[in-house]
Amino acid sequence: MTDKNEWKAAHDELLADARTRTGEPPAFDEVLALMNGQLPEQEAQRVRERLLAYPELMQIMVASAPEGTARPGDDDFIPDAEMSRRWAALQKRTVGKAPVVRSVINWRRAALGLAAALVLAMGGLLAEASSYARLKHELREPHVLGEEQLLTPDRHRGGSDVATIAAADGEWYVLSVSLIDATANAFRLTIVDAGTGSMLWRSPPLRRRESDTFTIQVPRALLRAGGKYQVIVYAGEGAAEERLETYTFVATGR
Amino acid sequence: MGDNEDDELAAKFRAIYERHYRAVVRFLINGLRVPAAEAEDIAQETFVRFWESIRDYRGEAEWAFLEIVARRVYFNKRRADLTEKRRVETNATSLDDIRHWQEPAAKHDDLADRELAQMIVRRLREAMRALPDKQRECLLMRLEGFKYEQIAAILAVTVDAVKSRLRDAKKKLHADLSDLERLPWPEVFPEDEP
Repeated sequence: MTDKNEWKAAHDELLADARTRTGEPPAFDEVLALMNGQLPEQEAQRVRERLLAYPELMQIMVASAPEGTARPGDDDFIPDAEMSRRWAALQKRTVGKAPVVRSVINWRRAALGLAAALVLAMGGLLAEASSYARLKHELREPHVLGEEQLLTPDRHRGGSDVATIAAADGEWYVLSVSLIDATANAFRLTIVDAGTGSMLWRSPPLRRRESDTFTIQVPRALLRAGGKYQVIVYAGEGAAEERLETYTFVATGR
Repeated sequence: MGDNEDDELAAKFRAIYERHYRAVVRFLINGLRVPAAEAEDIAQETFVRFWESIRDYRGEAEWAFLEIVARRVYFNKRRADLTEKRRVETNATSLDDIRHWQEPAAKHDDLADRELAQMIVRRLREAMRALPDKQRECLLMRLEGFKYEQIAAILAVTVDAVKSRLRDAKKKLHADLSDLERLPWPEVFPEDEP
């Protein structure tokens, strides 16, 4: 007689092996950097291996916030009186812990960390995107974005050749994708190496804007000259997320 | 720090508490699966951290900031627990400790059943171990309950790549375990569509 417990037992043994082999779990900041694509490949592989040995930590990084609010009777419902009690308890815990000034860059990086892996602008939000760019790339001076290059969805190209994209100012690709007939209000973008299927970048969830256009500023170093890549747009959120459009292009470098 | 500034910060903190405390607790219990008994402490620690950095806070991305602080607080707590557990296990030398880890899946009553279960676990473990790393990673995460999208995010690949690896893993496991009759297959593999 067999059942699915055997799979679980074998799985547990492999996990125990992996923990013995990889050692301590990775630190939060290491995992954050991994998920933001900020680690060199060798380091990323090392952190990923340690993370895989601790699925309970992985779960913390990828779990979504539940929708809606709790109602009386729910396990997470907090009545007003309990809110007041907890506020009083919180005040006791903050006594003697005066707020301090830290590096603004540090906490903003942390807050944006899971969300902003690259510079991203939507429609007219280039000014905001530029501030992300400074955070990410430590640029200390203003710079003017190069001319953006509009990509056509694969299904609308009618079999014509894929777009060939040059880095506009030698350092950045400025790619623009327009949504066609999209009805969702939430989106996500990824950039994928079309040759290997590897995801190079994943955007945070994005809200729909009036222009229905996303503009992505991509550092030249991210894309290999001559390589074929895809910008993929997903519509919806969480389990309802589905692929909306694919924009294939070839990067030519400078 | 002047009194006015103190008052302003305190008022700002109270407003943020009122706006988001319930959502943080909901996120902890029903998002991160924090046991209800622990959730209050983690939520309080999240807001203590927020208070400590409130001077840096400029009013944007309120929820995003709290969410990441909550993840960080709980991650660090679980990490500390795991590290401690690991230390204890590493130091465990009694035979009972070792037996505990070698115990096969429970609920098999007689010796024949237990031996069969042990054999199957051994075969499964070896078959999974023989999978290419990328396929094994995806399979272990699926057995752990992760969705395709979550696996894709962690491995920095597409959902299609995850499914493809799982299909390949299933083919190889089928080939390696074909002699095991009536082996139940967990529902972790994608449909066998092309």
